[in-house]
Amino acid sequence: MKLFNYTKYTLLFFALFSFVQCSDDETPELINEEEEINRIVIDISSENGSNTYTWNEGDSNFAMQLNSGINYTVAVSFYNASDPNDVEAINPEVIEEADEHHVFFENSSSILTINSASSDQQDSSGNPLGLKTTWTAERAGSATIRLFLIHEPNTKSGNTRSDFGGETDVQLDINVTVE
Amino acid sequence: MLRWNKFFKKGLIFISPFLFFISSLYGQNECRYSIEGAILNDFDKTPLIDARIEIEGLNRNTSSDDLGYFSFSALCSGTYVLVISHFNCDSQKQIITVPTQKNLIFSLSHRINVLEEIIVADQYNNQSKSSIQTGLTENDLSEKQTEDLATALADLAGVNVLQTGSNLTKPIIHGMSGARVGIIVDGARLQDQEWGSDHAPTLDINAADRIEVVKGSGALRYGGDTPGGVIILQNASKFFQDTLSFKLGSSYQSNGRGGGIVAKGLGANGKGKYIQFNTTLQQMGDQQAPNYLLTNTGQQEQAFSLSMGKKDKSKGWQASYRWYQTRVGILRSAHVGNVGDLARAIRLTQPLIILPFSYKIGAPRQESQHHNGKVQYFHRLSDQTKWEINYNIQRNHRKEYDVRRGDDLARPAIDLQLWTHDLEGYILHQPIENFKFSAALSGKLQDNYSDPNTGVKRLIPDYQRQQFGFFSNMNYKPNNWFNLDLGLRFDQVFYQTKKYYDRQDWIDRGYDEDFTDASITTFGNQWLAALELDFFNFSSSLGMRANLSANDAILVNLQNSQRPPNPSELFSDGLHHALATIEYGNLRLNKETVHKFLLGWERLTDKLYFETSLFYSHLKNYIINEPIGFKQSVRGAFPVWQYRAVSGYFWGWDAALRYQITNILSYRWSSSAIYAQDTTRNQPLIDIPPFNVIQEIRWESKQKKGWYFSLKNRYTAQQKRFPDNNFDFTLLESGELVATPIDISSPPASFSLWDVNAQIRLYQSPKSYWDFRLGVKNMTNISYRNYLNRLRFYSDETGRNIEFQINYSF
Repeated sequence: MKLFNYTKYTLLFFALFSFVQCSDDETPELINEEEEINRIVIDISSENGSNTYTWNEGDSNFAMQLNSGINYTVAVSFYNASDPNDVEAINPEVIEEADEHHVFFENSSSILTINSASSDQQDSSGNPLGLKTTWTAERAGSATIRLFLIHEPNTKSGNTRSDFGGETDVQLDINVTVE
Repeated sequence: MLRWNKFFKKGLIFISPFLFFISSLYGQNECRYSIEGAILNDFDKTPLIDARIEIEGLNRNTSSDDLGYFSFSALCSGTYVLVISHFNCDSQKQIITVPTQKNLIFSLSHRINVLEEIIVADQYNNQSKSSIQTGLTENDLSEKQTEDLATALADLAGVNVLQTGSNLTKPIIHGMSGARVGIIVDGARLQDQEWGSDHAPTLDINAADRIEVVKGSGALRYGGDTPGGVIILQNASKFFQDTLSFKLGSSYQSNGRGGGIVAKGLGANGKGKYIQFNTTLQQMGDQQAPNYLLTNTGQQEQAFSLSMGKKDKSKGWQASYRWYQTRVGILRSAHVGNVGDLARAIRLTQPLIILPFSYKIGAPRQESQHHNGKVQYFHRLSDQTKWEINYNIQRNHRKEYDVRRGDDLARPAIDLQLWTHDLEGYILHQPIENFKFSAALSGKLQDNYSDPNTGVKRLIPDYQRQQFGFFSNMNYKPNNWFNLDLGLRFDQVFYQTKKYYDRQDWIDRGYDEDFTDASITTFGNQWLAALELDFFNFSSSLGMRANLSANDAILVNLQNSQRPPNPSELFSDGLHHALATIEYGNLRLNKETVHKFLLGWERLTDKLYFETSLFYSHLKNYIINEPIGFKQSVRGAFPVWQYRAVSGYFWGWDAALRYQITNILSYRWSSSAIYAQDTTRNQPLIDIPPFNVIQEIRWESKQKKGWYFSLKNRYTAQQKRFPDNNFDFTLLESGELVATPIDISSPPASFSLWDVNAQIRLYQSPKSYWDFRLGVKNMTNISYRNYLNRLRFYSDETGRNIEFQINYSF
């Protein structure tokens, strides 16, 4: 049964090995995480003026002071500040993919109420994105407000984080004191 | 009875019981008788491979397979002369009468005093005969052609499956998996980044003719670092078959609405040349739990292999190339952003995301590709001595895709390429008939490249690993009643790596004090550490087998295995998106040592086969992963898990039984139990298989050789012993943070599954036949969760699956 020319096959087989990779001693490239969000900036403005709060990854505490009886417009911005010389704004990406994102302030306290602002961006179904909200400081006290950036939420309305589903891209506790 | 006993030693345990009986009349046609039998080596009654069996005057011939087994079909009634010959034995003539009721067992003696191993290039025959082993035969594998390796082996006592969802499975042997279990393909260790608990072995089981499982570290030739065990994928020797045969198989599965095709071909001239190919294609869509669809659990697989060989009286070569590619979806809902998401998923009774059925495989998913090439040259110097040289090259490319924003969705989050070169020189020497000595020198070079284009920090850094090993085995067999094996192995392992550490992490972990000789290059807050680590390992094994009577054998194994920490244990650095944990490697880890003691008993009578083994493993520097604290990030606090070495022990037991109740009815039972304790922290070890029992009742035709029906029950108890790794996360209540525990530790309840299987074989001609098989898994469609599934928090296991399979052999 002379089916095969073995010499030919042997050569073919060794040819397969000719692409053996040579090991190198090069320095592996440094990776700057591109999707990372490590700076959050919250701008609040009211009739009394405006204030900017910045949280950087590694900061232990994020506190905010409000005055009771005042309405605030709160705008949140996300940044990748891995490279201090090239801080990248993440908001444009969130707005561009508005259908897959939602910004939610979980508030279970009675010292303030949070509603979406008229200037807020909307997704393709007309749901507010949550980047801009109106906060009304109702009465004095302190509470923790939890900021979420949710990726691919199941729904865009709810009162607690569980209502939204999806994955958490940002979770930040804000200690709010109303005076 | 002795020869029968010997027969079963070769891992025949699970072959259908009627195989060695003569099948008689089937059909009305009087030229449709068949005969079956086996050829044994007269010296030690082990199967004689590649013996040629010819029916004189009929121009019909065949050769004995790996198990010494042969058959002829389509014989008319009458008297025949069988001429049995073997390359190195005197020919024998036997007169048989068809139909016959006798067992056709023939023994051939060697013409000159040489061992079968020296004659037949059987590179797989090196695991010690005294080892405790079990396995799957070609028939079993044909039934399981759509399954992956771990699932196919799961029916064997002492073997369990570690799952990540429904598609990614790893075999567990005696409670150990991953790097503690070696997988041998073509006589070389599979190098497929086995350090990942969600890395399924990259191989196609259809390319194997037989799979053996050696429990413990007895197969030292392939490494001394496998205290769990070794899985050996074998191919039957084809050098002396005269055949041109093909097999086409196709299957369809209701769960996943997909299937696959398998094609195999073998051509051999019977004079020392063969060529063989195998190809598998599979595609499955989303799988289904009883109550909901498991979104993004589709799977695609392609595999191809080609092997060939040639040999003459004293020398020969074999070469093979295997290619395997897979794309595996992971349950969409099992990708979470933080522990809050995990806690919510645990509280839900079904996955968060359930979409309509689809064949699409989105993120998260794994894509891997494996090339495996092997060449072997062997030469017999004399009747006593044979040497061989083996070269193996493998390339494993693994990409893992996470759910990411925007354009990054198309980019893998992990992209690793691992090259392995393995060179081995081996010599087998048998100065006297009852003593054998073998030794091997081997060198292995590995290069891992982690593509920076992922935009995500490397989970595993670029590294090079070099290993130099020496192995030796002695086998002493003074008589047929006693067999003694002693094996030794030394390995020197070097790692060289350049890895980026966060400056603060490097200091926090005290590496700045302990690794002062690491050269550091600073890139802002990132420190590039050039590290060199080396490990020296010594492994040994002593195996004894005593045949107490014609029916009983006692096996005793003492094993010492040492394993260097793997790249994951040393270097890993990243977020696990299914478990919401950050995993850190540990540079301080030392080699892991396991002392294992195994005691086995085998009993074989006409109707009963029974085997049981008991083992005790003492663990020193046993590397585990444990929670050590939390890391605050923009997504909240993440539990941090780090590898660490502990002391501990395993006690384990497993058993298998097969009983032939009547001529056509048989009963099978297997069971295993393990008790594992971490004595450093005084708590149970994690991910230990719970007690389980598999029972099967099987009706099998003896008359027609053609059909069987089986009913199987698989029971798994609830694991009661587990470490408590629960942690708290905070919920908001009335503006206050309230700590709430997340239970990631408690094992799910016990479950009991029913499977049925039916097969019929129809002959078209003596050499070509059709097999039709219908199988139903989880027949009662019960909902259950499995402790050994790392994604058990997210969904139930898959529900009922009806599988239909057609194979055509010609």
